[in-house]
Amino acid sequence: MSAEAKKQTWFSGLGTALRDAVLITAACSVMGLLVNLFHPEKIPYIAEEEYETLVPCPEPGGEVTPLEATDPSIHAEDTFIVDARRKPEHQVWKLRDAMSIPYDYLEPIPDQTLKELIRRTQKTGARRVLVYGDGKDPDSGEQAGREISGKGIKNVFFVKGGAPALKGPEPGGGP
Amino acid sequence: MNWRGHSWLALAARLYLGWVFVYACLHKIAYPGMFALDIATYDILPLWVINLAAVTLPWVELFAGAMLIVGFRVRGASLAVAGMMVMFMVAIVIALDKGLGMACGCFASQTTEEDPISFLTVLRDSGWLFLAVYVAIFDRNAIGIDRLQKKRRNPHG
Amino acid sequence: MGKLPALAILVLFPAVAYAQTPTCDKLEGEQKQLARELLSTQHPYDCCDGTIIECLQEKPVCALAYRLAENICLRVADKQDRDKITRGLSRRARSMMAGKKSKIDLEGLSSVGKGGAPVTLVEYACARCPFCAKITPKLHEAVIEGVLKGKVKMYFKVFPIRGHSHSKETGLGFMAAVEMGRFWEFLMHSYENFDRFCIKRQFNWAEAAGMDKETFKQLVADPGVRDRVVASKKEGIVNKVEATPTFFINGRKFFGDMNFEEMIDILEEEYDRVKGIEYRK
Repeated sequence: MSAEAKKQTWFSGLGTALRDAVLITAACSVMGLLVNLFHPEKIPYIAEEEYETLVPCPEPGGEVTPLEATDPSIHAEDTFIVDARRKPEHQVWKLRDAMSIPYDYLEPIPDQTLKELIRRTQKTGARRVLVYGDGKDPDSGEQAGREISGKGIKNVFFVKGGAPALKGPEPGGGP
Repeated sequence: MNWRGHSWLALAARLYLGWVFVYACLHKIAYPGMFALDIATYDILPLWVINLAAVTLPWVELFAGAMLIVGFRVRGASLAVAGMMVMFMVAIVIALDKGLGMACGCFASQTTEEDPISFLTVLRDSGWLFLAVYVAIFDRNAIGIDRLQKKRRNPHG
Repeated sequence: MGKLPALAILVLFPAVAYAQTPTCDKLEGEQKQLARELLSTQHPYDCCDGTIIECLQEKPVCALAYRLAENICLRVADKQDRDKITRGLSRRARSMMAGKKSKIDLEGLSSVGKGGAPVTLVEYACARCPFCAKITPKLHEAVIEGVLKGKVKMYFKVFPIRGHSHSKETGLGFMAAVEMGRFWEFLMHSYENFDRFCIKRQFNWAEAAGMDKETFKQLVADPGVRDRVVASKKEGIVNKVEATPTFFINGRKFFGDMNFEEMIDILEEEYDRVKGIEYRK
């Protein structure tokens, strides 16, 4: 091994390499410009009209699987439960030790809340996240589930019919 | 830095990267108009730059890719590839930030359903960027034309 | 010798059909071949039972067959491949022939275009969606003084996309403008200055659109306005709006290709259908 080779650092010879990169880019660009002159599909060098580029903006979200309110996995120990209803409703009734993440149709779930959700699912060793909402159309549980799943959390489910379906008929026939 | 294995690892990286770039540019070279539309869809470059980029960029991809494959001026070619990768990644991140559900336009003109941009696209591109930077830093004695030339210049080296 | 005229007819026969739409007539070589193949395999979804090419030869000519022929040839000229074209055609058919109409609450919203126009176009869009900012002013112009004048009236429903920064505040701004009766002026100003947006500017834009800045500010913070934006968004979700812009033509969701010419063509097609115009004059 030569002494020169031993002295090599990460950046040695970078100048030459950069010069080569610039030369490659310049030569190829000139070539591209020339080829375009004879190209059967040639385009003007400067576009004359605005391109019509219409790409819809999707509402971000991921896959979420519906579950019937009677599904036994809802009560499994490795199911982490999220309540997507508003705080006052959550305070009146909740399923087991559900974490409250109120779903807002205009504002995304805060990052801090998502981090807390991830921390708690990891701590409890949960294998799935089950979200229930108000059970209306649209259902806040389904929407929240979609958003949570879109943030990279796997195995997200929502309860069809939301909290009303989970509660079932109230004793005494009340609402 | 001077470990001989780097040349072989870099050769594998070069062949793969070279193939990706040559493959990616063929459709763009054949249909510059479609590529120009893809660039315009990102909604970043001013109108007067779009066609110039569409006409020139695929040729840089072609030659840089081919040079990586045959081992000619490998470090320069890998830096050019790395530069393009950074450019593409910035464009995709900006488009994602705007919330555009659009096709990547990275390879053939695919539809949004076939090749939508996402953070996975950025991840894939950063993998390629890593390979290009690896080649630029560690492939000091590239197997291929560079090594043959070196031997010819310095037969006892 | 008798075979020659027959052969000539066979060769000329498709050409005769082509002469009926201007774009098809201009195609050459492989493109002409592809257009011919598509026209002789695709059927119009209304008005005539044969393939498009057969329908074009009938008299009077089915207006939809002519429209679709022109559409196919435009796509071929645009270098779309066979799959893309057939997918586009089937999405178009799905948009026009879907039986179910969505329930859209238009109460209190102001429309553009003549009140008596038979086609109602509803757009669900986000104030911070770049492509809504491009297509909406074009459609607005077409409806007010362009080819859609008297044919289409257009409504806008706010659908803030969660991924867009400031979609909530701007959505509230749009709804405040609805309340103040200056919606379209504010929308046009906001979309015109789309790239110059910053959140504080929307109050100046409200003023530029003829609204009182302070009242506008109060409305943006008003819970009632927020409830209306939420209701609009919820309605969109129920109507399966998953991205912006999403259009509804006379209550049916539009699945077709999102480009201005295609939209104009489809809106005219709907106008013909409502008016019972089945054949070309």
